[in-house]
Amino acid sequence: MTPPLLDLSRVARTYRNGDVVVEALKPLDLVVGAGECIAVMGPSGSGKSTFLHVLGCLDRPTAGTYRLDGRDVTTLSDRELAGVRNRQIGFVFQRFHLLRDETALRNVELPLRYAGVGRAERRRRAGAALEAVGLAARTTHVPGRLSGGEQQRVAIARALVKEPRLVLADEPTGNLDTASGDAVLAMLDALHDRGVTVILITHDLEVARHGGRQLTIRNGVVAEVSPSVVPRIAGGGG
Amino acid sequence: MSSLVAAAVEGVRHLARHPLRSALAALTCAVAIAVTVNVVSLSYGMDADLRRDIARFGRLTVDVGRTPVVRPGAPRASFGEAELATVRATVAGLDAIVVPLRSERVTVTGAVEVRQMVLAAVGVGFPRTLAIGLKAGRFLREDDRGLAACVLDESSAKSLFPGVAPADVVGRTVRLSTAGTPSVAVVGVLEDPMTYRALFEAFDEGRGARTLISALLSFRNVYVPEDGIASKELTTVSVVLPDEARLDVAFERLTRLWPAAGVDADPASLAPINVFARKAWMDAFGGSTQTGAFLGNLVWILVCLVACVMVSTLNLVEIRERYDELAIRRCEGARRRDVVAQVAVEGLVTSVVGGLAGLPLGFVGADVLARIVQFPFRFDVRFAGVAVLVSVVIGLLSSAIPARRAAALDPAAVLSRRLS
Amino acid sequence: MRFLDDVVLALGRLRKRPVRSLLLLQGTIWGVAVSLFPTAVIDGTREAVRLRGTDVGADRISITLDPTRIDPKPLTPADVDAVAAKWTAAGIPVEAATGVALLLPPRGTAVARGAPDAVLLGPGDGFRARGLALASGRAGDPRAATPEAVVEGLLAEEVAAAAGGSALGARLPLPDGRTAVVVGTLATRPAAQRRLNDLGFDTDHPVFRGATGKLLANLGVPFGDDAWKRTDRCAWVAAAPATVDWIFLRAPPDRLREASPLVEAALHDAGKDVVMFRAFFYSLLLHRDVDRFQAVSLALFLACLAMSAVVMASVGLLTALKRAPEIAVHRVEGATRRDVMAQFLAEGLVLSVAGTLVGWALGCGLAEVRIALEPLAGMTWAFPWGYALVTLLVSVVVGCAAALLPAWRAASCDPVEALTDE
Repeated sequence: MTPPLLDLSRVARTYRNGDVVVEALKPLDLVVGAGECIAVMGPSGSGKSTFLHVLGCLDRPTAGTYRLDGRDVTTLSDRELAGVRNRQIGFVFQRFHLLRDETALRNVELPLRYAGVGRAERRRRAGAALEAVGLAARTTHVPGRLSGGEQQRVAIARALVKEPRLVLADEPTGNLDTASGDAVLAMLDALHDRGVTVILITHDLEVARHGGRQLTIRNGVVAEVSPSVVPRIAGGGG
Repeated sequence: MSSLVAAAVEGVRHLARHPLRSALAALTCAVAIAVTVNVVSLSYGMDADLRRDIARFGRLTVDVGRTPVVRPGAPRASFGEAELATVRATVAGLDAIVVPLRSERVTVTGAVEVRQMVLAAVGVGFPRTLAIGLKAGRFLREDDRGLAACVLDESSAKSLFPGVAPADVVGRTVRLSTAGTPSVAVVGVLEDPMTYRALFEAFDEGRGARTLISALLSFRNVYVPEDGIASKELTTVSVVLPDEARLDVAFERLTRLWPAAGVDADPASLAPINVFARKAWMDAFGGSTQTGAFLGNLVWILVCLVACVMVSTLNLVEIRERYDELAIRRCEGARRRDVVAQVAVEGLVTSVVGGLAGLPLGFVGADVLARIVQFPFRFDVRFAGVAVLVSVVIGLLSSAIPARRAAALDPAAVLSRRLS
Repeated sequence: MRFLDDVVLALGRLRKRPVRSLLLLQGTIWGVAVSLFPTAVIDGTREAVRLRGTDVGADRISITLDPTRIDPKPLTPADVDAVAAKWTAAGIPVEAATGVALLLPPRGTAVARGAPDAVLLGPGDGFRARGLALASGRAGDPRAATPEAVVEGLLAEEVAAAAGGSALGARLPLPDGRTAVVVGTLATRPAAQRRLNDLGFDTDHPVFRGATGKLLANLGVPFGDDAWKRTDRCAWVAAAPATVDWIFLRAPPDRLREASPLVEAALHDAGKDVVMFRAFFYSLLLHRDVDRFQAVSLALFLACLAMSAVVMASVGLLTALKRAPEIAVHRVEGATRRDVMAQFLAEGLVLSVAGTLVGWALGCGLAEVRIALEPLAGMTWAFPWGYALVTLLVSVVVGCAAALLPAWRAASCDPVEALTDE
């Protein structure tokens, strides 16, 4: 049996703001196998973003152990974490977070630049990634000239190009119309079919259905629910 | 009115909230002011010194003498006792002092031997032809005869007796290279009116300067009584008048006898004997030194302009980041005037504080430079005032455009863009 | 991520905001320019004097009797020998030394075509001491029965035209009634060179006529009837005059400053009162003392650079905060703090280099303007590579140092905060 991709053990994240202590993430255990697709739901302010950042090695947990692909990332230095993000984790954000002044191609190349890949190779792989998301005709466009759906597809291409083990998507369809949103979700499904682990944060019930498992977050507590419970919980939040 | 004051206070608080940024902006102004102080004290100081020197050359003196024309074979006009009598007669009734001068080049030996000194046999009124005084001892008197006594210029005294104070040179003797190599006692030392002697001598290396006045301009003379030189031929006759009105009368009378030597005259067209009014020369020469001072002004004006531009850019960038804050202020009741006042006060305070900080920086820098370059930097308390004024101007200019931007912003537009 | 990529990125940013970058770089640009151009002028002039010293009159001294002296003792050929001997004793090479007696046409009479403006009686090759060179023929022989003359360029053309061919062998009337035979002609000087006076100034230059000439007149420098030196229409007749009116000397330009007092001493020993003319300004420039004044230039440069650095650091800090979201994206995709800092340092580097290069160009422009205003013919400018590279180095160091503050601030931004802030 292959080891799990994500193995969180008593992981917690606490913030100290002067005298105020905020437990953004209360101690949790979670195991996610390779190739799973997980939906995470919860209202705003519930700690969703913190959860995502911890999973994505952007934020270090203040307690517990987090093993990513068998490696304990809580002990890694900043530099090593950057390397992990660079090679193993893809991010798709609600607001796309593309570089405004760069073309689509250069946006997709970004992780490869930090990986030290040569210019010709970078261009080839980025071009291929953009083609895979159907934007071969838009490589030289800057985000300002792309629609919302196209921008999000560029973000997915950027995640694709590093051939990651894990993709984290934070409300990927939040800023898109239905048609574009569906296209994006289809692409995430396709990723999942290829064996990439996808974690979807959303408040949309329909989106949550794409996940094989459902997690909820409320006040920093992460809990797993069965599919039948989902409508009641998801309906209450924002 | 009180809301303007409140706005000003807000401006100061904004600066205090961003100490690093404010300090950096103030530092720019400090550097600009430091440069200003340096350049101004260098050029202004030198200009002031030169003017003071020139003023000592005898504004109320008219000289009659030989013209420095290089024309071989031209007849040498006679200029002796007869002409001296004519001059005396011409200026009679004007309370004038007439000082004849004969000169020749000699080698003089004091503690060391100095060549190419000018031995000048002068009337006792000689110091009156210039606005200088005695450094030590006395000048020649009526009862000094022949080579019984001599008076030295201060720079002559320094060359002949190196390391000896002028007061101690009085009483020593010097030996002249004229016939009989006589020894003459020094009875006095005349003050040196040339502050930048080294600079002048660098330019006059070839001893090319030969006006009627330049024979004296070097002020490396040895003065002896009128009959100390045997030849009856005169070099110059100087006439000192008590005031400018009588100076003009004397000049007019003398130029009826001999032509005037204007400063612009073509030397080739001058007659052998000319009349020369020193004040014309002094005014013309003073004008020439103005150019040098003006070029110095260009430098500090340029530097301050550059500082203005850069601080302006900095303020512009900052204002753009603050649109939200300013929009909120407008929503909460600030008028356009208040916002402009706040920005203006921020700019002014930064530049004035920077300017004040730049003053000591400027003085220290000038001191260091003066040592390296060995050129005097002259300070004046007025520079501090000028510097503060300049920093106020920088502050106002550099916050003008940002203030306009701040005033022109539409709070609703700014805030709704944010919310969307 | 290779640093070259950072530099390319930085160049892109510079291109996108050309006006703001230009405004920020004013300090660097002007600091470099204002300190570069005096160095350029000094370096250029020093080189010009070294290479073309004769053409600009930097290697000559002209001596005549002091016109204000009463009954001066006349100069003689023996005085010339005395000066030459003194120079040789001091180890100064005597490139030429000659004394000439001057014969001028009577004042007020017009000089006919083919007749000389002035006749200079002296050794046959005396013209060498005035920096003139033979174009054809040979120097005159003082012992010849008929006086032998070498004529200057423009006179030679007139004589040749009248003689229907070559000037050599033609007859030349002298002001004292005698006739000489032309045995040699001198090369005509370029007009710019011809106009130089004994102090090295171009007498036709507007600045000379307007200001410098008047200043010299005020100082009492006696120019007089020396127009004949600037016409290329004189005749050098080989003779052995008993007394001379002018002594001309030539020595290497860098030795003239020490040579000049020796001339005065030698002549003073012989009891002669003289005036000496030479282009003293070149000696001043050649002297190492002038380098001290470069300290002022350097100080100005550093001050302007300091202003630039401070403003670049300030603006950098402001924009670092504004760019936090963009930087967060980089960090998310794998950039380390060091990568972020490298990017900012690359921007500092690119800005400094750009500013310095513009400053170089501006400095050259200023030098060009300064030279145009200069009546001294030998003043010219040359790009001072040494100093320029020093300004580049200092600029880059200061620019990168100025970028450190914003770089550090940008690198210490928490990407999480920036992403959630949105």
